[in-house]
Amino acid sequence: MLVKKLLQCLLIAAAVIAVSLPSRAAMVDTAQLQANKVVRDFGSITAQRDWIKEQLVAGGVDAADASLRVVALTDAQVLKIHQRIDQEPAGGNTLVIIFLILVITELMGVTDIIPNWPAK
Amino acid sequence: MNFVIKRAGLVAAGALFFLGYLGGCATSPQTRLLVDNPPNIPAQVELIEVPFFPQLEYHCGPSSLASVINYRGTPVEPDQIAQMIYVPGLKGSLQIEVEAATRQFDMLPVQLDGKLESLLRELAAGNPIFVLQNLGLDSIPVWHYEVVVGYDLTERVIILRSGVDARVLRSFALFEKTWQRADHWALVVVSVDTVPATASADAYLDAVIGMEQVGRIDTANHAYSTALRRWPQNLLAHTGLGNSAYALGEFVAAESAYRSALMIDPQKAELWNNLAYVLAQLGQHESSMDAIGRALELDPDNRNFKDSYNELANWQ
Repeated sequence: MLVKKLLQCLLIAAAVIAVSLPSRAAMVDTAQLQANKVVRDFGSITAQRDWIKEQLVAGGVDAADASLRVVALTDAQVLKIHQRIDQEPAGGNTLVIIFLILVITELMGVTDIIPNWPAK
Repeated sequence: MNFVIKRAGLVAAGALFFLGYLGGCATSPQTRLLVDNPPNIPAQVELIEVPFFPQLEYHCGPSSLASVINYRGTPVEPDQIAQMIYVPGLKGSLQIEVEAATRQFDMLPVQLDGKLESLLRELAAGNPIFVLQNLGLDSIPVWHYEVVVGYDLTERVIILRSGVDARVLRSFALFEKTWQRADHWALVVVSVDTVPATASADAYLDAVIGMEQVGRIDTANHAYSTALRRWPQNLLAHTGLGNSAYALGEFVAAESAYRSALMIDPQKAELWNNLAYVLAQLGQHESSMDAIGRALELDPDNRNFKDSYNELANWQ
């Protein structure tokens, strides 16, 4: 038990070192070197993460889960989604549709809402 | 009654006209290309080992992701993934969260180039593909995540795990349309020792840099080595290998990676800057100052390099 606890502490310590080493030094990180892809404005990115977290919670995600989920996003992803979360496609097969039109499009073979129908 | 039927007829006629305008004239150029110049791959592929998780309502994201992650040998249930990507208010999952969740399993979400032929090539190489589809129309979107598990070039069909159906067939032409309406979005999920068959260096490294950025340094380090086996002359991959090794405290490996990168591009000031730090860590003060000197020679006004110079000059 104690060994397990120790091991966990070690892992956490290792993670902290891993993250803190480059920030101590004025190292240039890989994302910065990737051509023009990252805005080096941490203040605004942190604020944007908070905003995304609020949106997730407002969307019914548990607050603790939302915190973990936002941390899992990269800066580039945060920049991509910020202020557009409700315009992004969210795969989920929402069937709020104009039924008649879609029945016709199904028959025409332009859409495929009902899989394997009509027989292809 | 009659009036209602008439009205329905009118609506239908209107809808047909509208569709002719919208999508009826849409062609499937990629399908035609494939049929005219069939690529040099087997005529049929079906990855029957890809597991299937029938989706709960609106949970096509979690089910599809569970499918590709389990295929790579990491057991996970759709419920666990739902906790990482599902947004009840949206009745769905966002693409960026799908990528983020994939990283949590130490697997790389690598974007494909949007070509139908690339999907087939990936399948031929044994890689199922996680795709976003718009099964409806641009104006009436029906977003849906699915897993492409096979194709048949003679029958011209794509085989999918989709929703509550373990095996859906969709013609190339229709698949091309529904995929195009979702911006041809497609991911191959791989563990860090594999590069997807059709991935560009940029797309692969994008995924690896994401891994590095969220602090999964060891995984990223491994993936940079994998990238260098495929693209030995890639500057960004050498740099990433150096940076991740540095972050792990593996300074000898970091030095060697930066030096390899500098052989490719000796004018890259950032690399001299980072090399200076690794040399300082190795206790080689003089070489470290030489290296930061080179960075400043190349870019004398760079504030970051000036800070580095001051920090390295007083290195303890």
